[in-house]
Amino acid sequence: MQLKMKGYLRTVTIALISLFLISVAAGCAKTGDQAPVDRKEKVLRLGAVYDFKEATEGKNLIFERLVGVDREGNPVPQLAESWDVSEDGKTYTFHLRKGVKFHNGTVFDASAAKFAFQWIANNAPFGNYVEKIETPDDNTLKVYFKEYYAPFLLDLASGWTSPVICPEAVEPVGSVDGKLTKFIGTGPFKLVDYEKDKQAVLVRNDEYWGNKPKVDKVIWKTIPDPHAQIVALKAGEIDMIGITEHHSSIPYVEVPGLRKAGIKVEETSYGRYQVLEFNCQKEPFNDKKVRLALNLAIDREKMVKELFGGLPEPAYTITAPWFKYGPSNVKQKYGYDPEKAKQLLAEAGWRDTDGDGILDKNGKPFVFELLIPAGEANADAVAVFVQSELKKIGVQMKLLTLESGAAWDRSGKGEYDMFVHHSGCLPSIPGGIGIGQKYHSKSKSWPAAYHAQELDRLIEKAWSTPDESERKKICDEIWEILHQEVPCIPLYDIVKVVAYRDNVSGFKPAPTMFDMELQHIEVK
Amino acid sequence: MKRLLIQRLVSAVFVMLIASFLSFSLLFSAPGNPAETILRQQSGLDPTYDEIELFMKRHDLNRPFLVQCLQWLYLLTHGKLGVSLRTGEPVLEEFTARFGATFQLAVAAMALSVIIGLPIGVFAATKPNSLFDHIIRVVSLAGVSIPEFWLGLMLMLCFSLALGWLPCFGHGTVRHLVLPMITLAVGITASLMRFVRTSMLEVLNLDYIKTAKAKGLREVVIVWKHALKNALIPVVTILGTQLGHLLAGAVIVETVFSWPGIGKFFVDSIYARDYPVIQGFVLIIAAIYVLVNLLVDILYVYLDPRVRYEGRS
Repeated sequence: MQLKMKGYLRTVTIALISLFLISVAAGCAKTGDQAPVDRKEKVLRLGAVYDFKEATEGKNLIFERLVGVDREGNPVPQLAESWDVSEDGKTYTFHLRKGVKFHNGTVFDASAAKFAFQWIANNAPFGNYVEKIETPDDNTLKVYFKEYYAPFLLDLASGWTSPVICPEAVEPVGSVDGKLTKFIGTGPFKLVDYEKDKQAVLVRNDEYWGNKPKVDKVIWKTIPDPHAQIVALKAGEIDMIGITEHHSSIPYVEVPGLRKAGIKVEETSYGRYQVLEFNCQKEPFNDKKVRLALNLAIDREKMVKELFGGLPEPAYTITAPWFKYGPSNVKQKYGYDPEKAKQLLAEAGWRDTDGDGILDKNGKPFVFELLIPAGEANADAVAVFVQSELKKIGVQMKLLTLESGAAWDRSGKGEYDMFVHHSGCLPSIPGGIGIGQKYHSKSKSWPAAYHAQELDRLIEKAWSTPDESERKKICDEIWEILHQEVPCIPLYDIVKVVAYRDNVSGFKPAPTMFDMELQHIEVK
Repeated sequence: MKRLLIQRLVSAVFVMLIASFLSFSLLFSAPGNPAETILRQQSGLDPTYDEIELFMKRHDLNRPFLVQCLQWLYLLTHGKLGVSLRTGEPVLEEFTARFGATFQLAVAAMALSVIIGLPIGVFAATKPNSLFDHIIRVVSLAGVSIPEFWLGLMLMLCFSLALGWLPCFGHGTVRHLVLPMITLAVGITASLMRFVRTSMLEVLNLDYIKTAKAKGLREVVIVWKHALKNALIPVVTILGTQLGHLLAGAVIVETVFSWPGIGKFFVDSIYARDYPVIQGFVLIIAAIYVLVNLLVDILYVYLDPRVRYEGRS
C-alpha cells in the first residue's frame, strides 16, 4: 500500500492549526471560573495549597464536632451544649444542642449523634476503649468506657478524628463502616460545587445554629505554589491566603513585602515550636551535659531576626507554656550562653586536643549529622544558621536533607543523630507527653527520644487520673524532668500567617491551626 | 499497515505491563510507607503506630510484594485500576478528571512551538552564519536554558500583576491557557529551532539539492518542498518523544500556574507512595507513548516514500 503525498505541507499546516484551535476550544467547554457574579453577592476567595477534599481544613468548614476546644486546650461546647462526667471518668453524658440540622435537612438528634459516634469510633484512638453507647432520650448521648481514657474529649474535638457526619454522607447509606462520599455536615457552610485540584464552592448555611456567616459564598481555589498565591493575592484574583494550611504556605520572609504592598498580614501562635530532637540513646547525645551545651550555644533572638525578620517568637521551652498542661512552671530554663556551653562540653570530656577547631574525645571528633525531612518549613535556613552557631563552640554539624518518606522511615527506626521536628499542639496533648507518645518508652515511633522509667511512671499516672488539678501537678513534674534532661533544642514558634486584601475585614483566628472561623468575615 | 498495527498492539501490552511493574517495584523498595506519609499530610499530626497499622491493614498493604502484583493484575483483567490510597477515589477517575487539562496544554504548547519553531529553524538554515542565524542560535540557547519555574513566575509577574492582561492561575478559558502554554513552548521552540536548523543544513548539502538548483527550480520550492520533507524525519521523531513527555504531565508548569493536570497529581502520589495510582498512571502513560510513536511511524510514510510497512515483492 503506497500513500500519496500531495501538498503534504499544506495538510500538515492545516492539521496543526486546527489541532491548536481544537485544544484551545476543548478547554473552554468546561465551566470557566469567571462565571457572571451577582454584584450584590459577597464572595470570599481563598487561595489554598491543597485540594479541598484532601486537606482536613476543608472538611472542618463543612463538618463540626460534638465538642470544641479553646486555645489552651479546654474542651468547649459545640454540637454538645454541655456534658457530665462520672467520678471515675468512665461515663460521659452529652446534652446535645437542639434545633441543629444537617445540610440536607436531616435533624441532628441523639440517634444521628449515635450513628456519627459509632462511625467515628471505628477509626478513632478511643474506639477500643468504648464499652457501649446509649440514647436515653432525643437529646442525650451516653458513652460508657471500659476504662478511663484521658484524651477522649480532645479526640472528640479533632476535626480529623471526629467529624459529625450525616448517615446519608456515607456509602452504603447509614452504615457505620461506610466510606465518606458526600460532604454533608452541620457546619456554617454547605458544599455546592467541587472540581478536583481546581476549586470548591461553598455557600452560607442559612439554617446554621450559631453565628451565621456574613459572606454569601466562599470559594476555595487550589493554587499549589506559594509564590503564585502571593502574585494572585496582589493581583486581586483571590482575597485571602495562608488560612487554609495549618503550617502557612506564606514564607515568613515575604511578610514585610506583603505589608508594603498594602496587604494585611496577621500572625497567630498556636504553641507549636520547631525543635531539633536529639538521639538520646547513643553517642554523642546520650550525655545530658552535651545536650544542654548545644541548647545554650544558639542565639535564637538573632536567628528569628535574621532569618524571619523577627516575625515568630524564639522558643525556650519544649512546647508553649500557656497550654492547659503546658510547661508553665519549669525552673530549668534555656537561653543563650556560649561560654557556659563550652564549659559544659569541656566537663563532658570534649576538648580540642589537635587544634583543628573541632572538639574531640578519645580520638573521635565532634561531628554529627542533622536529618532534615524535605518540606519541613524553613528547615534549610534554620539548619545552616545552627550549623554556624555550633561551629563557634567547636562542634561540626553536617546536614542531610532526605525526601520526606525516607526521612520519617529513619526517624521511626531511630537512625539519626538529630532530627528536625516540631512539638505537639492542639487538639492532641501538646508536647508528646501522652502515654505511648514521643517521650514515653512505649512509643513505637520515637525509640531514640529521651526515655526513663520515672518519666514513664509519671506520664502514666498523669493520664490515668480524672482529677484535672492532680494531672496539672504531675505534668509540672514531668516538664521539670524533661527540661532538666534536655531531650531537644526548641527553636521558635511556628506561627500561622494569614494575608488578606483590604476589602476583607473581620478576620479572627480560630482556636486551633486546623480550623477557620470565617463567620465574622465581611467582604466589600 | 494492518500488520504494523497488530505488531504495535502486542508490543504495547508488554511495554505497559513491564513499565508498570518496574515503577511499582522501585516505589515499593524505596524507604517510607504510604500510611505514614498520607496520614501525616492529611491530618497534620504525626500518626501513631496504631493508626499506621490500621491504615496498612485496611488497604492490604502488608501483603508480600508478589501477592500485591498478582492481585493488581487480577483487578486489571476485570478492567479496574484500583483505588487511590490518598483520595479513596478510583484511579481511572483521577486520571480522566485531570487528563483533559494536560492534553489541552500539551497539544497547544506543541502546536505553538511547531508553528513558530519550524519556519525559523528553516530560515536559519537557508542563511547559515548570517546575522539572523547567529541571533537565532543565541535565542535558542537561552530558550533551552531558562528554567520553567522562573519563566512562569516572571511571565505571571509581568502579564498578570503588572499589566493585568491575563489571569495568573486556573483553568477554563483561553486566557488561562496563554501563560502556561507560552512557558512550556519556549523550551520546546528553542530546541526545535536548533534541531530543524541542523537537520535542514545536512539535507541542503546533499547532491540532489544541487541537482534541483541546476534544474532551475526556485529557491522556495527547493527548500520548502524537497529539502524540508527529508529534514522532517528526525524532527518528527523528536517531536513525538516531546509530545509523549508533555502528555505525561508538565509538573512544574502545572504547579506554578495551578493547572489541574495529571503531572502534579502523579508526582504527589509518588511522594505519598500511592501505589495504585503509580501503577495505573504508568500503565496509561506507557500506552500513550506507544500510541504517539505509532502516529509518528505513520507520519513517516507521508514524509518518506521509501518507507513501506507492507512488503511489496
